[in-house]
Amino acid sequence: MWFLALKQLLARKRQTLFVIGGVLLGTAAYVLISGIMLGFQGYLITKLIDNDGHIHIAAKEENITRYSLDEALFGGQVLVDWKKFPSGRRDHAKIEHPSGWFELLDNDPRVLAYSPQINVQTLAQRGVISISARVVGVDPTKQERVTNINSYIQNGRLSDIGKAGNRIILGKQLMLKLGANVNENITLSTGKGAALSFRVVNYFETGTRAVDQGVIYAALADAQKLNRTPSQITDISVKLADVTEAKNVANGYARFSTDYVQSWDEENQSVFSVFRMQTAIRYIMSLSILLVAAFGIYNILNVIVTQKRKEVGILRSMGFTGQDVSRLFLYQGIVFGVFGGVFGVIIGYGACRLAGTYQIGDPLGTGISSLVVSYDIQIYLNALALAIGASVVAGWVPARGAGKLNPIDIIRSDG
Amino acid sequence: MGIDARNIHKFFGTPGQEVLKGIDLHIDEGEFVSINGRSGSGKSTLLYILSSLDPASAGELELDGKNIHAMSDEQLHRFRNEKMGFVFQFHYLLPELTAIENVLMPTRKTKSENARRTRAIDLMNEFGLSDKLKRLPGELSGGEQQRVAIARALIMEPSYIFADEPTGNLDSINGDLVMQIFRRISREQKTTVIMVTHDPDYAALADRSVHIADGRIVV
Repeated sequence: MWFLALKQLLARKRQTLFVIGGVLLGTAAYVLISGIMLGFQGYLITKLIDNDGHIHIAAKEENITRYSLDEALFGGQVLVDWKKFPSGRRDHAKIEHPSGWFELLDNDPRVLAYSPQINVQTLAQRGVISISARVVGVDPTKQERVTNINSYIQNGRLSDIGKAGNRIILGKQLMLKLGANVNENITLSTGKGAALSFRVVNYFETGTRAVDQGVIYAALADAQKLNRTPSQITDISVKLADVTEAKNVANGYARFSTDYVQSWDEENQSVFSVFRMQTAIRYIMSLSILLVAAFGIYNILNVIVTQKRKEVGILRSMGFTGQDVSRLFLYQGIVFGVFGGVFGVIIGYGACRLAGTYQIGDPLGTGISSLVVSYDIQIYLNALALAIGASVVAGWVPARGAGKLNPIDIIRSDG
Repeated sequence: MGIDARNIHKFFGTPGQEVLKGIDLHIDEGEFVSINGRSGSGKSTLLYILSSLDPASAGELELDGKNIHAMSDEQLHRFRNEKMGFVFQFHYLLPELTAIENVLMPTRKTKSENARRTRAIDLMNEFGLSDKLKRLPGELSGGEQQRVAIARALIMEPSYIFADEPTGNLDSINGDLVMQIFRRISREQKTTVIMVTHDPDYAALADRSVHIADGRIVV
């Protein structure tokens, strides 16, 4: 039946091209919309993941409540009635058993790298200017393996700060605000002791304002000394071999630890609800385009079946079955789907390439100034499956009708 | 063998209008039979029932000694494909296919189009269509179209030809040509031909004429 199906399609070139064009537009639109949306999502996700590791382990900041002291003071057996409730916060948060974490992380095959950190709130001063900033004390070689901080530093790398020696790398905005420059000194103070002097060895620019205005990287030992908490850490940033495992691993850790353990996707819930919304919009748009195309296929095949009733009758008299006749029309639907799908994917790819050259400036300051477009093979497979699926369904209904036509009703000339 | 119809009844519509009222008819292998009668007498209905295309409301039909009720759908279609050829008043050629492709269309059911190509060309030569092989039906005259349709009916070397007013749309020259073809295949290839016609001259060319009036065979 392929022979006749193709002959019939070729005999109506304009109509065939028109229908294929409809499917093509739907498919191309799906590829383009998906490419742009997924490209944007992928871009954001990479930024989120790479800036901060896949799992974040942090010390819990514990507030003192009316029950907090009962057990320590009264053994928990007595009902205590305070005249004035104890309140306040524990002096500083810290991870209680860092060595336990290190052992666990060292032995977990899913963990690629991890970086212990201490986060310290400080006042950065240069001359008369002082700005509050967060010092992140890291082991630079470990931190480099967990995040892509190096890609935000020009002419240098994070390990330039060394293991100790009061060297820092800070956000560019912060440096500008302080009026400082590379190779100049600034002082950092926490209010707990004497201020320490640090030398600026370089600066970074991530494009995220909060980070660029408020973060200073220092060596772990220096930051601990500044905070007067030697060998304490407040955070551990973990990088996994497989990002998608993050939630599982984090949940596993959280079960036996009192520390705060969250995967990157849990920390960025709001972003993901936006993604879900985008995905829904993407499917609705593409499906409505494909629906129109499928309706076109359905309509045209219906008309063709009606026009070809006599020929259906003659085919049946030759011994072709109703199934053969159905196939004749179903194949035409498949041709619409396959050609529309394949060319739609090709044109969609071209449109994506074109969109990829569109300049949107560099709002995130990452050096990527054009639209990020995803070329995930899954988009293309989905597009093909949608186009062919829609065409088969749209072709199947009239084809089945044609297979059920009774030959005798069609060809009888008279009584 | 041949065709054996016993007590065939056919009703149409509701309330049932009886178009055929108990037909008993035996047609021998190789016989050339014409069925004639007035418009509305039931002659076409009888033809299509004998060809198994239309089921009878009651009665028995045997083709080649096989009861058609005992045949599966697939067997019946295969039988139709290999043993039967149909010629209608209108040619019903597929407009997208050339003359030779139309002739070869039935062979596609069994994928024997290449094996039968020589026979198709021979048939077209025989019918004076040797220079029209690659023409589309729309580019042929009425007589030529009908001859292509007959070649298509004969391509599988069927045992039975069912013809429903095959000369109805033709002038007398082309009509005579068609009748000559039927006459010849009946005599030379022992093909059974059953032809509905209301033209008494053409009916007289058959070995036997069956006259239908009011749903019954009138002798």
